[in-house]
Amino acid sequence: MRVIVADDHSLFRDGVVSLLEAAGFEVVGQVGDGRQAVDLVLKLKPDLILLDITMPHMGGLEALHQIRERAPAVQVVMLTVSDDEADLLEAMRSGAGGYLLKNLKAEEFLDLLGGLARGEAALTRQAASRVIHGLTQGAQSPGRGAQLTARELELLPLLVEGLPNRAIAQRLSVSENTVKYHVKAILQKLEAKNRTEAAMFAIRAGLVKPPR
Amino acid sequence: MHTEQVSHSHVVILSSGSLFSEGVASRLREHVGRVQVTLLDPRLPDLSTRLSSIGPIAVILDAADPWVVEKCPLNRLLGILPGARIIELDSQAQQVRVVTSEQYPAKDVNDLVDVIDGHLPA
Repeated sequence: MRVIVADDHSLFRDGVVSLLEAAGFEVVGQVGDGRQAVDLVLKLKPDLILLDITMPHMGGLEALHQIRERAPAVQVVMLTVSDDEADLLEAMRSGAGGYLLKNLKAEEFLDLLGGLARGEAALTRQAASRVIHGLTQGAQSPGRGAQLTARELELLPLLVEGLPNRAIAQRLSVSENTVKYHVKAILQKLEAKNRTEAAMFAIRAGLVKPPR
Repeated sequence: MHTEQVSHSHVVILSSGSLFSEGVASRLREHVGRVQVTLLDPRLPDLSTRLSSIGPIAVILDAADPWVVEKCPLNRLLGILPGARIIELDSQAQQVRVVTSEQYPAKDVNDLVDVIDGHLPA
């Protein structure tokens, strides 16, 4: 299996590379930030990339999104110190093939990576249970997007396009004040601080297709 | 049996199997001839005896490894190996912390004052 390791902690990264090589993995590259990671994945098309979450220039979760979008055949496993459930769930929802903590035993780490070839997720039992719990909870409670009215859902793509209130009003044949009212309601329901945040949430949640 | 030369290049890594320390051990093992690496589990009941017997020049440990923290606190390690460098790895920072110790006889306060002033006994 051809692997890239992306981690800004070079001593840790070097050690992981050594363990991987000793276990028979072919490490084709190693980088210290998310942007380089994306570039190298596009260039080398490895089977797997191990991504740290906290890295300079571009974090691991953003790099994950870009890799899933631009090189979907490449498996991505997060390797991080972050035990934060939000990071774990975002990574798995975004298509990561696993989420491993750096305090893992070396033997277990290599076993879990070996499982990827058999189609298994690289997750410890504890992490798997947290993912199932998190996803089940998410499914049981109505999502933020589910609270939007039909009119607000109609307006949302125009907001994603970046149109100002006046242009939205013209498109929907309503007054600018009506648009302001709906935009305010959308921001509240999506718990977004501004229009950009609302637009990003709408795209990620699949409420709106990203603009071309 | 270890010769004097081997003993001085010997490094012990205390690890209960953490990814970080095992990775460092794996990389250090590639420096054959410069460093001789021995991995020891901090939970070993005869750890003190083994450490004394090996007499390493340095002991490397992962400061975040719970078993190292519990079973091998620094004062214990320095008590067993007063002349060794203790090198703590930090899996979240780009640095290592090196701890060394010096031990001198101090029969009275004058000896203590000498040590404070840096007039160290031979």
